[in-house]
Amino acid sequence: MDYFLSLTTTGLVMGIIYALMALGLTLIFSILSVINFAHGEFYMLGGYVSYFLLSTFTKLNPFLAIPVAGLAAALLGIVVERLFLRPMHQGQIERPDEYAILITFGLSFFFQNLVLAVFGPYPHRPTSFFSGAVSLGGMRIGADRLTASVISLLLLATLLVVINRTWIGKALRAVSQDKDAAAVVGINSLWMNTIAFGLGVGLAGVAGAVLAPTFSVAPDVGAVPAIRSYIIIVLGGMGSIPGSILGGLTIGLVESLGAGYFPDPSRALTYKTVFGLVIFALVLLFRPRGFFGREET
Amino acid sequence: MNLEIHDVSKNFGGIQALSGVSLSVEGDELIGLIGPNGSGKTTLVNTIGGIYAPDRGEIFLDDRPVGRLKPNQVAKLGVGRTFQVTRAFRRMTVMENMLVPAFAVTPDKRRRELEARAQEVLEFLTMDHLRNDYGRSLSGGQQKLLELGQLLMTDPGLILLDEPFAGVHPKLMETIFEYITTVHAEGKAFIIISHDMSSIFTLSQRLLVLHNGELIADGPPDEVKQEPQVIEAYLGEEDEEYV
Repeated sequence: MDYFLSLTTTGLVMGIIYALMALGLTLIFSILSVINFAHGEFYMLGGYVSYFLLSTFTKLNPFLAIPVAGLAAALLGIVVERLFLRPMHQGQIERPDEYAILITFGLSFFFQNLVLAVFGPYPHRPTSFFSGAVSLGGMRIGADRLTASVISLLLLATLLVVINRTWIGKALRAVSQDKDAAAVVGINSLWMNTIAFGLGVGLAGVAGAVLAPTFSVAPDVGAVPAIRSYIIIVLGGMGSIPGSILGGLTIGLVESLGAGYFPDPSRALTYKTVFGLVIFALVLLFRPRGFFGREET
Repeated sequence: MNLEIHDVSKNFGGIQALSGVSLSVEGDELIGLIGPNGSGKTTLVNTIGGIYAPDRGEIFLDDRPVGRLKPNQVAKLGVGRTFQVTRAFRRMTVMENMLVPAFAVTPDKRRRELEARAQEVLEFLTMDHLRNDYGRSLSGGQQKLLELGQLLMTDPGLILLDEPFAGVHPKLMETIFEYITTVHAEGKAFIIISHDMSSIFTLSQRLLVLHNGELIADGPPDEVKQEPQVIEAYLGEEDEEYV
């Protein structure tokens, strides 16, 4: 039983972080109708910003690097949205769907090669938030991992309050539900696109910064979290915020329990991602729109 | 609010939806806009509301050119509209549906003030008991009322209604009638598209008739319905209920 609880706790801890990453992607998809294939690279850039700050200013509190990384990713996202994505929402691009795929894939390659040129191919690990492990109900969890999870949980809660309680959040929800209807009641959907993209990639940047001390940073470090995020947003239901959170927690739990109970422990971690994919396939088989997929209107 | 439309044309891939339409709306007129299916009524409303930019011609609101403005900019200048198929926000509560337009158009107003106004409007529309219900749970007629309520939250000078009576229960139709006459009496101008001839003839002070994208008649309803061009346009459509 203790082993099960330990695996469950680890799964939830990771699931919260997955949810944070996926939530950014969901936000972008629901407002801009774009799958951001460079999402993992914003995660990676968040990690590098954190590493750069903490290795340059060695006395800097590691927690201060998190908002800076998030802000840097958000600002870069705003520039990217204004330069590359806005034209498709202004009707200037003939085939916007294909354009969005090419642009975000292109940016993904560009950012990976940019950090490869600047920081080199080897992984870097920024200063830890806390060293050692924490005992939680008899279970040992890495302090950095737990810190990342708590920060992610706080951010998720803040984001939910913003989305549901503030005027900007309601405007974002209105645009995600019906762009034309939102426009005729006075909402500037182009601004909402910029806000959603900045916020979405800012969350990825924060996720990169909080996980960098645990998993290190390398030019290709964003690939796996990004793929996992795509799985989560489909699992949760494209564009659904509660779906992303539940999807993130589900994948975290399934990966943890699957690896924990795999008959051959020496290979268990190798198959970790596969357990999530199996659940993903099953959910799609029996509920193709995912947990909270929107009905066609 | 004065609206001037000068020689507006709109083409969609070779189909001429609007062809040299010119008209003006002054002050608080209550205007009916009729025409057979595909005559360009909704395109005209979409062009006034900023969803489409005219290919040719210009639209002026109080002498300001607005033909190339976006819908949100037109809304902020005092033009409110509803859609033929209701577009209330389905995953928001009725109260949220009411507040979103108000926040967008009058961001300087205090939330409490806007909530009080929303409550007042919902009571007028006999929908106050639904304030916490989601848009998707409302009937089609209630969604239409909700859209009409949203309009009052932005206090527009010109209101464009696209088929407000279509598919509506007779009881709700009475409420919509009352809404239009009450709001019009407060000094708002209306352009109402409708296929419900008895309602539109009863309500309108002035009638516009579009046919194949052209404005073929403009005047008092009693005169317009006698015009040979109008009779011919409608008699060409077997399923119209033109009287």
